[in-house]
Amino acid sequence: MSNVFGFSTEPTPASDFLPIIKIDARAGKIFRMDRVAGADGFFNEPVEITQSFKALADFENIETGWIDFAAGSAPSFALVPMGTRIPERPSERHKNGIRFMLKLAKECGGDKPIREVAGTSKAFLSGIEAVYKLYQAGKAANPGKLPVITVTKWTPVKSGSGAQTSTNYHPTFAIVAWAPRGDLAFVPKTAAATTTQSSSSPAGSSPPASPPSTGSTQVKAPMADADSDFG
Amino acid sequence: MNIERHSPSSLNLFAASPAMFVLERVLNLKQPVGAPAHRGTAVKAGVAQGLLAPEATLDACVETATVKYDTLMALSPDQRKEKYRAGIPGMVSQALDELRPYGAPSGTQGFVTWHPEGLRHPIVGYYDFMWADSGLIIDLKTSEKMPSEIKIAHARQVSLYAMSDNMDARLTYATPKKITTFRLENVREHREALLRIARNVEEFLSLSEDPQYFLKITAPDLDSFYWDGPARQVAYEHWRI
Repeated sequence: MSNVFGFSTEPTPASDFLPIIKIDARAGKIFRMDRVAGADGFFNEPVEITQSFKALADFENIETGWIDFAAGSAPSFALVPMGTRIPERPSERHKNGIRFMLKLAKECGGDKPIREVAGTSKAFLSGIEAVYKLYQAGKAANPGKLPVITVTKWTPVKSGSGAQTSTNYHPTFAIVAWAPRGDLAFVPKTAAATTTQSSSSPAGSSPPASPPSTGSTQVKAPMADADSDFG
Repeated sequence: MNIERHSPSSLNLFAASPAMFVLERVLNLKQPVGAPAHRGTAVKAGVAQGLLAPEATLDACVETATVKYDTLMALSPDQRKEKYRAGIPGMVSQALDELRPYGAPSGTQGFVTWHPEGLRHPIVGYYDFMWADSGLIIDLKTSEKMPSEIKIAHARQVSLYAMSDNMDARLTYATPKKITTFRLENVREHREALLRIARNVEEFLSLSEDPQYFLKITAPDLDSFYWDGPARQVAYEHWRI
């Protein structure tokens, strides 16, 4: 079943998550991965923020496509901006995944609140898909703002059978507020992919059914907004 | 050729009239700016004053716009000079009524640059008014006739300024008697169109290092307003048609 990301999020055995925020569906936990200096150099130290997790999510700039979280090496990404044609699958190891940036709230952000999250697990994707739909529904009423999301519950979902049975915890996200982007500046990493594989390339293009409208909706000055803790 | 960056206006010009693009951007023979464009610049100056200084009177803002217009048009032979000048007070007045409720903008005439990977030159431009706290960009357009929707060229232009897709981008059209603000839709698609045109421009320019070559592969549409006035003579001199 296709979803808003262009591929299925039906439950299957979970895969990995990656820096800089790690959402571990197998444990139902969220970790902030901090770089810490040790005797042998820097290493990643997971700091659990499951209970305090609250973040400004950059859903405007979700990247989608293929990710390979190969153990012991840097992950491989073949991503394009959501809404454009997904590139060719680089290898059999690559799985459908997404990536986006977020800014953690003060209570869970540490000294580097602006982070990135990427994942391929169906639990992660389905959770993000659900909250993304909420974002789409509320976007027009919150111009210029991004959603502030939290996790309201984790739902255990079993997959497989017999000895192959495993349980993943599907996060349910909620939008608790909307806030201006502030210093959460999107850092594009997929320009090359966009250039070569997105609709910018005639060979790889997937033209829309009709040309985009420009806008004929007349608008007036907005009302004043309440403050938020993301400034 | 001395092309080091793209702008929405140059890209829209390439789409609208490749021959005029060749004349202005490749041969570097810029054609005179007419009264409509200068009036737009002048009205923006008056409106900017009124938005940044809420205590500024309408008369002061109109005066600023008029002086600006007179300065820009001082050496212009455009016969429409007086007609367009007469529209300035009404445009400034309506624009202030329309835009002052947004409060003082956080920025005016802000520089925006976008350099997608794979594009040789960046696309740059200047937005009219930004309210950063509200995530709002508004571009002010002056016209003799009120459009029923945002013009495509304007959509491409303002899509560059709305650097994030959730930025609320709007265009305010002012005529001497009417004013309307439209919300820009499909920002990403219009910015993508801008990028496509920029790629086409670079592909086009890569055909030759010789500016004269481009006269051989283009031809002006002499019925188009682009070739009115002195441009008609220029067309004949360069294309012999």
